[in-house]
Amino acid sequence: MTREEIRATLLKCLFDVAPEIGDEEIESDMDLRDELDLDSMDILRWVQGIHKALGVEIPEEDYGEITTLGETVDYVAARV
Amino acid sequence: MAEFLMPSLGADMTSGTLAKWRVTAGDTVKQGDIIAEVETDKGIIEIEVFESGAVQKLLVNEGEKVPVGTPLAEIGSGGGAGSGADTGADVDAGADTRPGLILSAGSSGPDLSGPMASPAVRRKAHELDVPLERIRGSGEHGRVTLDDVRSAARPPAKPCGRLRISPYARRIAEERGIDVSSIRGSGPGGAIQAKDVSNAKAQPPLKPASPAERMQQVIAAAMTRANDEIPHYYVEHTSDMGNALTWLKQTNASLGVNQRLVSGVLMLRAVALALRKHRKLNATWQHGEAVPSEEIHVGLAISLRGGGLVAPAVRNTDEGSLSDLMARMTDLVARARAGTLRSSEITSATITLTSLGERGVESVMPIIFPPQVAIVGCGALVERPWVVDGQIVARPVMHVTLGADHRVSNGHQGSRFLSALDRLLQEPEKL
Repeated sequence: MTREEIRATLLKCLFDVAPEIGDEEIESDMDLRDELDLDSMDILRWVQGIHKALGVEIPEEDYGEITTLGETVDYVAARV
Repeated sequence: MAEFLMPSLGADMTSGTLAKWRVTAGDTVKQGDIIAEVETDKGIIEIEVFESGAVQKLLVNEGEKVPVGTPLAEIGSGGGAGSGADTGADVDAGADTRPGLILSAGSSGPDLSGPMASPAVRRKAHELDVPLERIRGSGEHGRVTLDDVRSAARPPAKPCGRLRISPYARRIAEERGIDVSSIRGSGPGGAIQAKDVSNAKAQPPLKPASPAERMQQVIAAAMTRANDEIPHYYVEHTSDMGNALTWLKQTNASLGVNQRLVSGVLMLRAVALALRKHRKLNATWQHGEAVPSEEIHVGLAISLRGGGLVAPAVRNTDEGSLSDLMARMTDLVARARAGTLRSSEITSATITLTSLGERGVESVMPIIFPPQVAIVGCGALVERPWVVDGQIVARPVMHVTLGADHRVSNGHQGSRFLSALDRLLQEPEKL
């Protein structure tokens, strides 16, 4: 699976959680919680979506490593 | 035979558009089934039926906008609880106590739809374009009557001699959609003449409000009403969240990703359990008195990123396991964001919990959602110096505020509620 494919899947999971952000451009280094106003429930639902789509389980203690889309692509790419 | 009526889904809802039927004539439905979708200022709401039986006839077509209280369908009694009552008569008498079928249209339901009025009165108000909320009812318990609606619909008597305008000038103004009160007349005594109207520019047509603007108008109306009518008092407590967060971390470490909990669910459950012993705060204000609710349905204020705010209820918040509550809360938040809430969730909250998120302000002084009589507000979780066993240590703390209706409870009771809530948060394993 390429990084581009992972990125597209992560974005799809994110839109499922927060359909309202549809038109906003999401940059790789944007802090998702701050810029997209995601709370812990949103992050959990995103992590659940990633697990379902890619089979990668992200434990809570690793949440610090998935603060941006770019970081999350790195995290998932190393484990998928 | 019962009529399924257009429900009232908020204080200012006077009408709704039947967006979609989920059933057709001949289908059998049971209590709690979703049978229609209604478009309101809060988005598309799924409407549940509180009657069991066969759908005899659909009375309103998809896409049709009708006033609150309008019969949408006829449902034949199928032996369900409470079926067989003649709803039409019951509604007019305000005697129907079944929740939901006539959501808050009768005197016994929560007062979510403004003043009491029969469907016939609501229809007339809709026809004459008179907002029911602005009418002071002359009937029993303030019930709005047909005469009240007709009186309210009459244009106010014109002040004599203050606006002088020739009939011809008035006709031109009407044809062109010009507000004559904004025209300076050039005739004798300032009288407005045809040429004054001709020189005046027509008002640009009003731009229809976007869904987010309409939702904001609904919130504005509810909050204005709350501020006008409810004597709020506030009490606040700072709760040490250390135990709760440690427990949550340990618990989540042993759970699969789909079973994990968030701190919000601990607060939701703690509020519900604290309410069991503080019933005065779990009530609705109906026609001049507080009516305590047997069941605890905590409304969760959910801020929508596109603008707007909804506060649907997590029903029976004090019951079931914590993981069950988490699943229900997750489902509710997802559907609120997707715009597919159900009528019972929109109307049944008995108190509201609002949280300004994990990175926001430290405290919030929320306004009560009528007809509820209390609201709990949580600030952000922040790390602060805290004294534990005589030592100053860094602990995660949260400001928890109770806003309550002073007609129903007082500060002492509010303070006891927050103390109970704090104790529950110190023993998260018992939630």
